[in-house]
Amino acid sequence: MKRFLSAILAIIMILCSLASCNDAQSEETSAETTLSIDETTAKPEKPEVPLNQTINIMCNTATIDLVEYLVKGFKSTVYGVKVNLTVLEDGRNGCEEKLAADVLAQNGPDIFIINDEIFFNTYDYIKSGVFADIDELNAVYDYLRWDNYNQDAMDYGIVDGKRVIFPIFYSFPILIGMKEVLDAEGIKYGDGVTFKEFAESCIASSMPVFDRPEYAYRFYRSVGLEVIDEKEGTADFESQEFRDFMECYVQLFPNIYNGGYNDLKISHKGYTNDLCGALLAEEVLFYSTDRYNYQNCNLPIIDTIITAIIENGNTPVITYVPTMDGQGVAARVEYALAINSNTQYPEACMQFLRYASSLEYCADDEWHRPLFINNKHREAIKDVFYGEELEVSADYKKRSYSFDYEDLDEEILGSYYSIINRLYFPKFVSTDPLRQVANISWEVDANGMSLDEAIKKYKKQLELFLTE
Amino acid sequence: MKRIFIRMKRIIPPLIMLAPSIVGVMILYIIPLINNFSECFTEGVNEKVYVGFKNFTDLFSNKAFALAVGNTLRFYAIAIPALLIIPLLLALAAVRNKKISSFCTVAMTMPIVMPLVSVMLVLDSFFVSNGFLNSALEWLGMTPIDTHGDGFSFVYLVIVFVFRYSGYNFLLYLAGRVRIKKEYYEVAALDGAGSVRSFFKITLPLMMPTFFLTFIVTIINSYKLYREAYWIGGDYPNETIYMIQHFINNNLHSLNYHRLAAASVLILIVTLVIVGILFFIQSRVEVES
Repeated sequence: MKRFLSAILAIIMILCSLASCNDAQSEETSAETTLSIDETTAKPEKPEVPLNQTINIMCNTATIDLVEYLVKGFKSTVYGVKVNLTVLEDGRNGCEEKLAADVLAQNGPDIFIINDEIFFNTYDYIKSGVFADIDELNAVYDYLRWDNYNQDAMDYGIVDGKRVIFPIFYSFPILIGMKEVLDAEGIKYGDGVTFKEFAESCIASSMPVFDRPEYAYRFYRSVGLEVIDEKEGTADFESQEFRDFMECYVQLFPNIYNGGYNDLKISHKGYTNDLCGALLAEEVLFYSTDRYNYQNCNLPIIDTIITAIIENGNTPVITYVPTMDGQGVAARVEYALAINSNTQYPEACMQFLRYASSLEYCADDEWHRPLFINNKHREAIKDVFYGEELEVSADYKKRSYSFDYEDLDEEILGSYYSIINRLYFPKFVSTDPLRQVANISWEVDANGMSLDEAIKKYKKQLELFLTE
Repeated sequence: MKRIFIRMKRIIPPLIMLAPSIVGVMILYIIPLINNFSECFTEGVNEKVYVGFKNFTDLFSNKAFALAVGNTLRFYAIAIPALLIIPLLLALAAVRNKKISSFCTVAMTMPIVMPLVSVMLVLDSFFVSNGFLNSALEWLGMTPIDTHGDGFSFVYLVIVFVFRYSGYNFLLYLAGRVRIKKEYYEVAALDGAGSVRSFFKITLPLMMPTFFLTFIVTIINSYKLYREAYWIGGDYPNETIYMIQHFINNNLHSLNYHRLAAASVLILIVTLVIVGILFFIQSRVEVES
């Protein structure tokens, strides 16, 4: 009897241990929370052939706003595709390790959200063949029309000869200020001015200009530097160009805006404007007291600031942060998508890409986003602005609710488009190697290390990273 | 037939009892190990391609791997002997003196039971750039040390490692030493043997099994070094403390699973060789004694 009981006990223990080996997908760990976009809230406007497919997307708290917005819009437009959204913890441990473990276990998301806040080592994923070739998928499903998109932005997504990254919007470091203030301070800006000249004039004026030093990698992109080559595994940190950039950057530290987030009155040497709230100050470099962040350079926000300047009797200036050589304006892709080459539902993924680059999405989310890759978005704004009733304009008007483009000042629009027309996209580089740029500035700022020593130290680390 | 039935009756119940453990070991160790071996010879994440020994040849030509191996061997060459000798001396002192014994038992076991973060915080208060050590050096008019720089970070890692794991070895040695009967030393003393002679002729031979066990435990503990090194320098620390564990962990982040599988197989082989040599030496020593 004892033996019988012990045998039964052993079988129960085996079953219990096997039961705990649950499917990894249904496993809920502390590192993640699974949200499912409610099927019942979806009201498809354009029913298509139902696919009955479920795609998985992972994001983190820094990117959830965008992704939720995107997924909700997708659900209301595309019929029959369910989306599971998994929210990872922030930071390297929360995102990168979980993502890498899932991808290696063939359990990765169907669509990757590529952004500085969630995806740090994009090139590793490209190199390992985790991202599908979008051209190949489009040849099969034909959901994307390349001529609808900004060609330069799209070319940014071609890495090592394959279109693996699909940008959805991008931005550039716009600079808005009061002409009187800029002239009084001797700030150099505009065509032909190099980053060095611009930075030196800022340093001399000691005006508060920009954000925390960890944003050095954003600066690196915005001034159009291309000294890191991930494919070749090289980083030319000792080039004169890079040294000039870092010297300017670290000297700009006293110009960091130290005001609180809600202490955002635009006031500088007698020029006062208290219209801007917390939102605006976080969006653009505002040449009076505000600081500089590259998140948004979209028209509604620019217009609000410019209007505030004009209403106070000052002259607005709308320009850009120059590149190292002073030629062109460097754009940076804010968000991009990639499809897992292992996905079971490539068609649904392609539909998602189509929606993310559609005019519908642009119109829905235009208040929050800078420049969409969809060219028709810009055409639609122009159409509304110039009052031409084109088909695209009518559709756009119907969907657009956040901003009345007809109120835009023609001069602002002109300046804005003249900058956009000069945009170019420096070659792709992941965030991980760029962290060394941030580390250099951090060592100088926080630890008082000399620039030469810091460059030497992080050059070694980057070499290690690139050769690993 | 009856015999077979009786034999089966004897074998099956223990097997059923052991089954949960066997299943657990299979799932958690054996199957991943087999999978790891198979991954060494493939490439790609979603589409795997057989590449033969390419991952191994890549490893041997990889500068980061060479640096990691060099640093790890250098670390072992210094830290492992230190971790074998210091606790041994303390254990021997503890057996002779009760005050030392009670102090060491508490002081040396604390780093084992304390969380790593607390241990590192304590050590950092001494060794960070503005810590006790540099304050003392400044007070003495000497130049402060860059504790996380090229020169000192390796030494710091050795200190951390010895401080953290000495307790294990101390307890093992203490247990081994206590087992040796007092009478052996009394007889040796009657025969005119001094303390040094007693150590070499009685203590050391009789503690040899403990010594081998401690050696193996130390090697195993040295694989846990990553957390301490990570605390000091993160994923990409100073070149002098970039260890194999950094290489493996970073390759996991960059989805180079095949390369890290190859590296782990090499480590396994090296460990097996070391342990094999140790067992061989131990058996020879036992035969001789």
